[in-house]
Amino acid sequence: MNENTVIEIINLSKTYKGNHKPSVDHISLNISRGEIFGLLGPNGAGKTTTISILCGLFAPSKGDVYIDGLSVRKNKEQVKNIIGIIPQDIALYPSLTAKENLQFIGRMYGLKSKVLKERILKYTEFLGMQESLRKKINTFSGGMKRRINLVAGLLHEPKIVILDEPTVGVDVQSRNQIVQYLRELNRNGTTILYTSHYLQEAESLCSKVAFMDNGKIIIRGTPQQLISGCPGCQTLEEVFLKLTGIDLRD
Amino acid sequence: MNKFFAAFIKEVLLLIRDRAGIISLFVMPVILVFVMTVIEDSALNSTVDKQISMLFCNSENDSLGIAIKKGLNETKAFTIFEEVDGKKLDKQSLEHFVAEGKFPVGVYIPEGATDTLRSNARKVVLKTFSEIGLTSETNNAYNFDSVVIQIYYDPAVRNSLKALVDGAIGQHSAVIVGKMLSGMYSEVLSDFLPGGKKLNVNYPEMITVNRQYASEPDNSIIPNSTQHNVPSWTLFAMFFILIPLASSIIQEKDGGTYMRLVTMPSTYTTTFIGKITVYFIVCLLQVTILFSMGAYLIPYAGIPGLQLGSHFDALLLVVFTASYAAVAFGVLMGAFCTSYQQAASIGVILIIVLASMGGLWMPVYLMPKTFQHILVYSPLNWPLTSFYDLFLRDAGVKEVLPNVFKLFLFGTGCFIVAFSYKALKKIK
Repeated sequence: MNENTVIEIINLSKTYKGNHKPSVDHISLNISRGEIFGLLGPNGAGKTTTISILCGLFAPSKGDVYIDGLSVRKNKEQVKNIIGIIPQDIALYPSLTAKENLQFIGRMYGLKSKVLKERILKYTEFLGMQESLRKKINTFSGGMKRRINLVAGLLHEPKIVILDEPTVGVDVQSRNQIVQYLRELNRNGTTILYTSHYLQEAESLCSKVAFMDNGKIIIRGTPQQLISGCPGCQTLEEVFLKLTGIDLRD
Repeated sequence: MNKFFAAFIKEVLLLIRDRAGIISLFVMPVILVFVMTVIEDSALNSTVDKQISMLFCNSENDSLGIAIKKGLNETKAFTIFEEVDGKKLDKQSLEHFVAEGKFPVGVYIPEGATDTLRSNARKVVLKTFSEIGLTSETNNAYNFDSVVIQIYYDPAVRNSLKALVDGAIGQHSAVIVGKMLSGMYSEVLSDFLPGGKKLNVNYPEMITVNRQYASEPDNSIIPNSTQHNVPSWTLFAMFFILIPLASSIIQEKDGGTYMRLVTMPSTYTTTFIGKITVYFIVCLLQVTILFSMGAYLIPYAGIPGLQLGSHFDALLLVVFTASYAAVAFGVLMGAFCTSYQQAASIGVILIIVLASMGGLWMPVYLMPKTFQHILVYSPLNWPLTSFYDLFLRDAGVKEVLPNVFKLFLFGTGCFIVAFSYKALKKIK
């Protein structure tokens, strides 16, 4: 494994019981330290399954993933300390306030009270959420929920942040703020693995991308490499449509 | 430990914020226990210790009528009325009121009953003495006039009540007859004593009835409304936690929080133990609140308060294992159900079925005999039976241990099945 590689996916496959077709089909991928890597693809491509294996949520059927040199099969608990997850669903308790949610999550990561308090202030200040800390999550707009959801995954200051559709369903302002924050985070040395349907956003944010379809990686490279390698394509979205087709997906 | 407390506090906050949950866990059981205890008090009393209204007309006002009335009063089973609407009863009005259904039973002592009885007693004694040759009375003197005590019943009255009234009157009539006979023997025998001496035979009390509750388990003991309803509805409320608990597990499972929890460095078990600890404490709080209400508040409604027995250690053992079983049952539901609606509907039906099977709705002795055999299979019956043992029979740890063991096995079984199912699903 290259010293600069922080996530190494080797021949990874996952077939759910009762399914004949694998959801992830022999994929291999290297993500370097300090990258913002976009894992893109249509619905059902296998992105969320790949991310779930990386987080230790599912065991792979075949292959392995190394995170900072640690196998997710063998060192699941140690890997959990290195990564921060921002799930696609809002992983917060609606009847608790933002502060109560963050305090619970921070304590579960083993943070001491003083450190936790400082980090809550630091991250919520950046995302403009300090005023809303004492409000319940069920009173928040979609954008506010997303921002607190993001803070919750960052409290333990992980080396690697894995985001599954972090900007889905939010307004342009909130999306812009989240994207800005991810850039800031990356500038401070955090590696980001990110999935999204917003290809324009991915094009501007990611240093490298990979397209997944039917459980396989169909192409990878920098956004510019992919655009220039596709005759007649001006944007990443055009490359995406050319490669994955225009048929609707389930 | 810090992680456990974080999970515990989170769960407490979630519970406190769930107003419907708080109402169903604490407010509804308080109302339910109070209302059911008061309502069932009269129903249970009709079969247990409620006094029966009885009309009583003593037209002679002599020994027999007075003794029967005294005897009936001593049974404490009857409230005796000798007048209705300020009017003294006679045979006709007594029969009329019973026929109208205003009173279930009426007793009429005819005029001259005591005199007739006295005359009969004298004839019995003289006949006896004549037969052994002590007197020279002729056989003509031994024609007896029967004394007829008339008892009127409302046709709707149960046979058990008829037997009770017949028995009480028969018993006290027999006592009077016995006393009259002994008095008459004394009187006649005195005629044979020299120097005008008087014989006075006083019977001692030859049979004493001693009533006490058996210390060994005895299913024939009938609880009063408080003794039945307070533990019953407390158990119902305790097992009702399966709905909020299962819902809490399902909501966590369905929402993104489960994904976050399992991808945290702390194990999901820590969060889970925090959750079930809160619900375990909820069960203990329910017992404390509802039993306190039974002991201190229910008496204000004129109903006997709950007596907890003298074995607090045994009581704690039953409460702890019943709480353990209730929480485990909630976890099992949480593992199998896939939505809140499913948990709520299946949960309610399950609790109602198990509660009725367990004798919570209706005391066991009122159930059909065949159904009583099914009771042993309901986990709600085990703690209820133990509460009966503790409150009615003053049982101790030894007596409640079999049910405590069953509850513990049931709870552990629920946890094992729930975790196995969860593990199986994870493999899939």
